[in-house]
Amino acid sequence: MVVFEKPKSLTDAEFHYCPGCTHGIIHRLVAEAIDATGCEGNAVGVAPVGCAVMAYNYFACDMVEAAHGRAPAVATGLKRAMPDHVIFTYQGDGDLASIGMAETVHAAARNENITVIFVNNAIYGMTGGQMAPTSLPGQVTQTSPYGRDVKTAGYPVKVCEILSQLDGPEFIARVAVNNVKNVRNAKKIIQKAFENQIAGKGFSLVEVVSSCPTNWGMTPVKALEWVEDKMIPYYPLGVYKDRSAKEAE
Amino acid sequence: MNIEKAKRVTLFCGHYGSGKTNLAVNYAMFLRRQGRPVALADIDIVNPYFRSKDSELELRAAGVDVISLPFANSNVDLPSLPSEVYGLVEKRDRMAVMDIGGDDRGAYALGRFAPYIVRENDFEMLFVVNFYRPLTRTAEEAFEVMREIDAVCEVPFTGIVNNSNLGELTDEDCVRRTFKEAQKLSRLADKPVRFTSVEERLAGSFPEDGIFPIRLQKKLF
Amino acid sequence: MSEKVLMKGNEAIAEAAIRAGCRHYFGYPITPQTELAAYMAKRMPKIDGVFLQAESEIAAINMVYGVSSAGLRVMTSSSSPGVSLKQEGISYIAGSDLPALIVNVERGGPGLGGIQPSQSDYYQATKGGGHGDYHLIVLTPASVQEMADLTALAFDLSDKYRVPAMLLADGTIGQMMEPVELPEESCSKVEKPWAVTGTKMQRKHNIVNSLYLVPEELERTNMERFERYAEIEKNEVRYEEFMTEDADVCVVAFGIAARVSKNAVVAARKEGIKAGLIRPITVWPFPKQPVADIAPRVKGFVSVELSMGQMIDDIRLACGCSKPVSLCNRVGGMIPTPDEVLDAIRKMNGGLA
Repeated sequence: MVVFEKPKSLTDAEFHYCPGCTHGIIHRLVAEAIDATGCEGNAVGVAPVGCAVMAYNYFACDMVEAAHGRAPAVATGLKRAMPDHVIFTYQGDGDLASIGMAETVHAAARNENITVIFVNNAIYGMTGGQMAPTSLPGQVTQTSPYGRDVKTAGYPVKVCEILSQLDGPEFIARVAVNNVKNVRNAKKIIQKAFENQIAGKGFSLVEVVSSCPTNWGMTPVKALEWVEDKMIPYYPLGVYKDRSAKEAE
Repeated sequence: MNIEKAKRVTLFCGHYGSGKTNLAVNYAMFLRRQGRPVALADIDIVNPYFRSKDSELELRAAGVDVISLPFANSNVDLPSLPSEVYGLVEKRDRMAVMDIGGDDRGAYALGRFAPYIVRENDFEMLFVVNFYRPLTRTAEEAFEVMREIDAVCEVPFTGIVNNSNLGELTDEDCVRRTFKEAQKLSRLADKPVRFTSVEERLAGSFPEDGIFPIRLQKKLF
Repeated sequence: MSEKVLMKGNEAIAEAAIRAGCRHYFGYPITPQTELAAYMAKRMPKIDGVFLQAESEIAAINMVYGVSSAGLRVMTSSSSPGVSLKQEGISYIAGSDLPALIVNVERGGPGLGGIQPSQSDYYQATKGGGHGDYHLIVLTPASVQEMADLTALAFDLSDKYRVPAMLLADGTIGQMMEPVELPEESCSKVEKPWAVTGTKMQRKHNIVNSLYLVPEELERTNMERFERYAEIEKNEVRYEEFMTEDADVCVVAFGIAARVSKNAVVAARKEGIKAGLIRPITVWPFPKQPVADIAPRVKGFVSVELSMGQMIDDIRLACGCSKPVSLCNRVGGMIPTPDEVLDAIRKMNGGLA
């Protein structure tokens, strides 16, 4: 029995992510969901602008690189052009919750039948550690050098809490990948987000609370502790909306 | 055209670009030439360009009062309605010709005045049709537009105006070929064809009754 | 009913696009192109097409990017302020070598400007608009018939060269009604092996992308793209000449300004001035050669524009500044009258430095 095997829907390209970065785990979970649902030949992914910009090199399915924040709009076009294909976006917090907030909210409101993987690591990694819409109060970043002051920089944006208020979306959930238990659960939830689309249920977003040891200035182990101690209390894990499950009750 | 039968209020409704504005302008001038006091109210909230206001000078010179949207032909499209329209429908001191915006969208604007018009019960609500317009090529298509307008508008249709034309390419044959379709629409809607409007230059070719000669707005380019 | 119908310019674009096989339209409301979206909203659901009112112009152009990535004909339309918002997406579409049609029914600017007609987005349309080195194929209709014909042509050229095309119209042509013979039904004649239609596990994945990590590679894609632009400049220049054979004064105008200019040229001829008109139909590529060819024979050029003078630069460049070029213009939603153009022709004929 093979214990550790690379998912088929990942290419052989080597990840460029920093050691200890959780993007690698999340890519793997997405690829496993694609494998499990058998949709690779029919899938088109949309890569963001951010650390995951080169996701198009890692997923073996067809890929489109979107402008910063526009992935849900691009995915909308793809899905409307090819309703029988499986369309997913992979976006970070700056991309999805700041510059692309309008596209995110409206794709959700339309219940656009796509899958959105939202990686929240509370920082802009690609550009070198600036404050993100999801940076925690007091969090030190390059552009909040004295800690995020909520009086001037405002409060973090809680995406799942916001989107679950809309009538539109099918499924909104937040997971984390900081320990084995959470990774197992994340795998299950991400797969569900793909199954929902294949079943024609509609917009499914999974927020993955993630870490960025490099820009947080921590060892990978410390970073995972910070996820547990700081991030998860602020961004509670769980299923925020599951329309089908609710209707089945 | 039997002017004795002209109702106090005449409303022109129809599909986008069916020729409502031009008809309203010509009809107002026609009533005025018969010696009636008349006002033309433009309540088109749909169309930003080519409005009855373009004919305002000509209308005023002929003694027709013109009531138009305050921002008509300006650089903003803010379709707020002028309050004078209430005076026109309530006071009953003049003949009123009303130019309504295209489709059901334009007919919404009529809703607020409808109760007054219906209560007075001296109106002609005309559906203007040009069978050379792309979405009203047949009686069936035109009837669909008519029903869409009817659904949002509390003033019931009383008749149909056949304004079929191909712009400057219009000839006698072009108009005649639509007579059958107009009759078909009349049967579908159970409303009479009140008249067929034809450009002045062609009016001589139509000796029959029910022809209303119209003049087009001057072309600049 | 006859083959000809009476249409507004905006409607003619919509119907022509549908006949060209476009089944995906994304837009956001703005005057004076409203009829186009309204027409699509009515027609698309009846032919299994997609009409989607996007949350913004930015979203609309990115939806266009998505559909085009899938290899299908797709369009968006707007008016000047909205087209400014689309520039980011247009740059990405150009950088990813995707075909698409963008319609700009221009209105006065800058800023919110006004809803009346204008041609003041000429620079934006022909010199880039968004960031980076790129061109659009820019077609300028001067009648409702051309709104339809050039829409079909724009789709074809865009597919052929994998370069986005823009229909640069103005509010007047968009709103005016004229008889039009609609183009035949057609569809894309070009294979699109690059489209992201799913690997079906039978090929390596396709990637639609404008990011290049290696500068040499990005340089190479830019160079390659400009070779295609050179092909377009060689093959796709379109223009109309009117009474230019013996002209002493050459008027250059496109779109609504060309219609006014034509009347002025006729009026000038009546008073014995040998005037002629070059009407660019493509403004990128600009008809440089006809301007260069006529330059030695004329006293000068008159550029008639609904802007503060933008195309005038291309005329000067095309004639190598060998002859004077005067500007006859109105802005802010105004249109020059034939008399104003005639006056400019008279002045140029009388000798203008």
